[in-house]
Amino acid sequence: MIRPLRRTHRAVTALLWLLLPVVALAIAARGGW
Amino acid sequence: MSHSYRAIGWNPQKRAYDVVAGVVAAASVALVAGGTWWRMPQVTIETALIRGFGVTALLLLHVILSIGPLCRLDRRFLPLLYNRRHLGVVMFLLSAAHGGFALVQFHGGGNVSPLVSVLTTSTGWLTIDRFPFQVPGVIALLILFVMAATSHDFWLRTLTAPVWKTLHMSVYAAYGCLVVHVSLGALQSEVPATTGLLVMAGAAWVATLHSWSAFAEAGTDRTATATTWTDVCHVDQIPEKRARIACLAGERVAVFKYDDQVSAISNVCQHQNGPLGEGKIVGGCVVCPWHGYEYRPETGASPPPFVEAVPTFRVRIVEGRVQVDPRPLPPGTRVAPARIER
Repeated sequence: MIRPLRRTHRAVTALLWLLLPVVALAIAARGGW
Repeated sequence: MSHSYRAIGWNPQKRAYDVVAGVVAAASVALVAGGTWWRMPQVTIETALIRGFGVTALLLLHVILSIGPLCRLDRRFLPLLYNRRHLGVVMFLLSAAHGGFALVQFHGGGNVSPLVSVLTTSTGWLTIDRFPFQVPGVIALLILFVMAATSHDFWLRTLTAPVWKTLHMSVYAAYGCLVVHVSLGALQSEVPATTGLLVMAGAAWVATLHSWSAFAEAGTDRTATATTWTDVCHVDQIPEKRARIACLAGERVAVFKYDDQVSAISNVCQHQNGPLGEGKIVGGCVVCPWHGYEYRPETGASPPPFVEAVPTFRVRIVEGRVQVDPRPLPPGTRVAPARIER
């Protein structure tokens, strides 16, 4: 049970960080501030 | 633990938890809706409520996603974990209100079905300012609905813990959809530019907490692939009626010391994967610290009439050192405890 959870946790953590450039792109597209 | 079905087991802690959650959510909706209406008096009350429900739901989701990692980092957050599902249901209700008002406000009153309209209004899939941001919002709402509908322990038992856990891990997919929904939706319109910073800060907060807890947990895990007896610790390093947690061959094992003997069982509770090794032995049974599920240390089985069972491991003591065979035995298999020679 632990091994799959660890893999899932690592994948989820990596994907969470990928959200930051998405938001950055959206801010840039809006024209910044 | 219960061997008869009860719809909801209310207790004072749950009631207090729900009252606080409800009051804080209502106050947040009122604050955001009121602030929107004050800043933009020309908007309708429905638009202000859409903002209020949406912002509150997203804030609550950040709280929910933070609880897991925080509990790993500091046990004082555990009381928040016990009824985390209640927060999830509240968040779904807030999201459904947001979606319902938005559906009526922006997609009702036309000659196209509102549900068709919400999915086909925008078609700029390769653009940012005309991206159909409603679609990820609908996807997130559907995920949250399924999670809320299966939040009761009845579904945990019916679907089994691994399936239920996998289903509820989709909360992360819902979170990703909501970040896209807000970034390519509200953020592209008349909301303050600082909204973008807040959304980014929220995602960074959640990502940082998960990374931090992952590093903290990695210290306990070892990548041992041994299939033979593995040294865990000296027998004196295990507190009486408590356990030492070891990671053997990718699985966590809880080694308990009690009554001048040592037994080893899986660290993973059959209820909701709680850490049995962080519990203690009471009345001859290992008690899970999360919800009180019990297991006999010699067999890994729950006392009758309960039927839960966890895998057991062979254990021996050599010159005062506790050694465990990392190959798990089927749940409920009796293993003679290792006697401590004094």
